[in-house]
Amino acid sequence: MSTPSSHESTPTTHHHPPIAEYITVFKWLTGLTIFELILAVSTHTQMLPLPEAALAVILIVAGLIKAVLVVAYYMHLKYDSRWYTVVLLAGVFFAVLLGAMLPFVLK
Amino acid sequence: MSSHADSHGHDEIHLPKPTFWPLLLGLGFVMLPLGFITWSMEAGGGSLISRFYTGQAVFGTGLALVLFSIGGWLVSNIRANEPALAGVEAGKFAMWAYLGTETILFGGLIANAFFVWLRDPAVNDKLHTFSAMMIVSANTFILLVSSLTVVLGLAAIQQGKRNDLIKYIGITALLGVVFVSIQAYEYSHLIEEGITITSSQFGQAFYMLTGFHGLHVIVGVIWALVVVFMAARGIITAQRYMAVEIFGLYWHFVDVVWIIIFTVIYLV
Repeated sequence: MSTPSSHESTPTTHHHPPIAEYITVFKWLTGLTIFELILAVSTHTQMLPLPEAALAVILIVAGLIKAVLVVAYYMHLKYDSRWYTVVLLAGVFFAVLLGAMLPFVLK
Repeated sequence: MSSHADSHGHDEIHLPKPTFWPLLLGLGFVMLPLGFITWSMEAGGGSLISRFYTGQAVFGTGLALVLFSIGGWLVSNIRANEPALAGVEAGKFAMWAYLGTETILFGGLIANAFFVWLRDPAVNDKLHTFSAMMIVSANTFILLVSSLTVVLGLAAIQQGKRNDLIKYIGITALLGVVFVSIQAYEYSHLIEEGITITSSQFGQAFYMLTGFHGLHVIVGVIWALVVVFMAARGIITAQRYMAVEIFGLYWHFVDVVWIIIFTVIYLV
């Protein structure tokens, strides 16, 4: 590897997931989205007698799984430096804190 | 941050030259929602001057700052013969730091829309009609496909296939345009249903959240076209593709935000 200088970008040396892995993740994302949609439509049209709280929990868990899949595999957080994860989790922490405080300040 | 070993086996951290453009960009992104909020709050009253100048002026200045700083940042990098956001690990770290702040911003906007929505169950029926959910689902699928094309583009340039990179990122930009167009159609449908930005607290929160996300998609489309331009000019190569990775982080983040919006606002 050549010595990096300020005018020359260094080749990236990270692990690069195979294309098949990207496709697999896409299939999971699509499958989970279809699952969410079918569940939501059948519940909102009274075809499925599911309590609203249960629907909310299932949908939010499915949404979070999709978000984690994108962040881990498409944004390469699974393979990159843990510092990126720390920075992102700091943002998530403050976002949750802000969200938890909102009901007390909303008029 | 990881480091790179030079030819003598020493560790060396590669950092970009100091620049003030990210600061201007951050300032612009802060001014956008502030101006929008002020504008919205003044829409129902206030003096003629405050109604027409305060919120709009802050929003307009923020938008100008965002566009100006993105352009300036890119031009300064190109002039220095470096790819956009040069500095291998430092560039990615800076992008993650930026995305961390965006997480806070969108977290607040999503929570705000959700809690306001809980108090206004009347909008529930309008958002949960079959046709409305199909439109939004189609848009969700479009963003998922666009995320796939970004990683396929990245994989292509890693294998030295520059034309494939141009093709995949071009498709990404096109899908972004389709997404925004469908969102505009959805807005017209909701306005017909009586959900406007001034009709209720939910309308204000909803359009603030989805509109701000849509603005991010528009910025992403412009960015994708810049990546296509850089690839076509040979600035991005199999050895230098950090600009694609940085753009990818931004685009995937916009996708993640939509995944959460889709679930929390449209489906629950």
